[in-house]
Amino acid sequence: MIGFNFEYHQPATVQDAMACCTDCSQSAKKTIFYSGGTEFLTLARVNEMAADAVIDIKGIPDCNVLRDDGEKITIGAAVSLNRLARANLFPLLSEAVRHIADHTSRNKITIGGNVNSRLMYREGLLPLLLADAEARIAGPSGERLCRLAEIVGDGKSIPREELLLQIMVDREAVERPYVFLKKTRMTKVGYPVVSVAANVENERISAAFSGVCRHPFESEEVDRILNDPSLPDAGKVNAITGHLPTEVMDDMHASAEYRLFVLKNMLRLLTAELEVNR
Amino acid sequence: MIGTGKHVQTHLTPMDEKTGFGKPGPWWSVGVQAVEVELDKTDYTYKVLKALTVLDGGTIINPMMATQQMRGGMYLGLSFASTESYIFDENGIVLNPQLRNYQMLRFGEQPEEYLVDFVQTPSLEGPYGARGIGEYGVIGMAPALANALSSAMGLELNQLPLTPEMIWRAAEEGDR
Repeated sequence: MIGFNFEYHQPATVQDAMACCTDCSQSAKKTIFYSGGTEFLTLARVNEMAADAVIDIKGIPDCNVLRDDGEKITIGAAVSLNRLARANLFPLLSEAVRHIADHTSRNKITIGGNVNSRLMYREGLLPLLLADAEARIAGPSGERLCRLAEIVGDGKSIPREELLLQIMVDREAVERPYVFLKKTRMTKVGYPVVSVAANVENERISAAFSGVCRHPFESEEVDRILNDPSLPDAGKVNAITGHLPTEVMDDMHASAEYRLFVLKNMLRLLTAELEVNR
Repeated sequence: MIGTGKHVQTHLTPMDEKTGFGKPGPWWSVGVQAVEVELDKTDYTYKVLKALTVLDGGTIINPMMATQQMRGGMYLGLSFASTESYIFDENGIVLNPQLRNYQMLRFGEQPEEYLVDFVQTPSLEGPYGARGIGEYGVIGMAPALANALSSAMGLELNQLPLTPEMIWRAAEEGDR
């Protein structure tokens, strides 16, 4: 049971949503945008999240777009992970989101919610980092475009008064050879001990990781090490540990040393698989 | 048609307060359990291919129900053995009190094959010679799994749950 009352709003347009958010904020209500609701419901139930008003964005057409116009893929923030995987406009993204939670949850979890999740994993973000995705955001003073990494990279969250409407990816980026690898503690459904999305562009591997550090990341330094022909695969993990954005995660799902062991195995698999695909 | 019936267990005695002797529970039995496991030695992940139970269940009255009881027990035992456990912080607070982070085996992660058979030595005290067979499917699974993985690794694995990390840790310590 959710132990507090809250208002529910379902606007039909972006303008209505922003007006609603401004109204709620002016009356000092803690307001959140939501769509699938999996995070709000499960965290509110155990008092780890609270709101005075929730704005459901499912009814906004812009947030439900899923389109390939030949140059760009446009993904509405309220598109569910299952719909995204089924449409398969971005195969690496389909593969990554198919490994998040379970099938029933993926009917509800949206890509917008996943990339802005309170949980540190945000595996849907990995392919989008590699593709250098763009974000269309609505705020109190109108809409703006920016790189998705600017607003949700480095563990950042979208400011409360702003709403992610769409994610855009260049057609070219979704056609690159790719690999997605994930290991959980034990069972097939679970948080990643390590997950990695990687692709190849101009004979060069780029990789993005989740589970290793406090937040998902893609790093030029790490990519440089991955592509260094003078380093043996087994040595790469040691080289990489000096260039991680945060300390290696050490929690009840996996120790830091074990995560590095899993990462080492994955780097080996990743280079092997991508070499085959080239 | 409606059938009714009752059975009252005979030969039970209260437990002696001082010595603990007595026969408060009626059932014991003998049986054997085994698993066949496929272990990947590069990352210590594994899959249980077969799980087996042969039990003296007394007279088996409903073979399908008895067999399914063993299968369910083996699944439960393998889930305990391979992944389930409460994790506590230094103050004794359970860190994984929800199904979101208390991990159990999922559908599709059960053994590919369950093998079940019964030896039927009628119990004089049970109805129609039957024995209680409620929990026997669970009991031997953890040691069977630990023995199978120990044998594959050439190491003594004697801690649960047998996650890949536990096996990796044991292998690392074995190397030192």
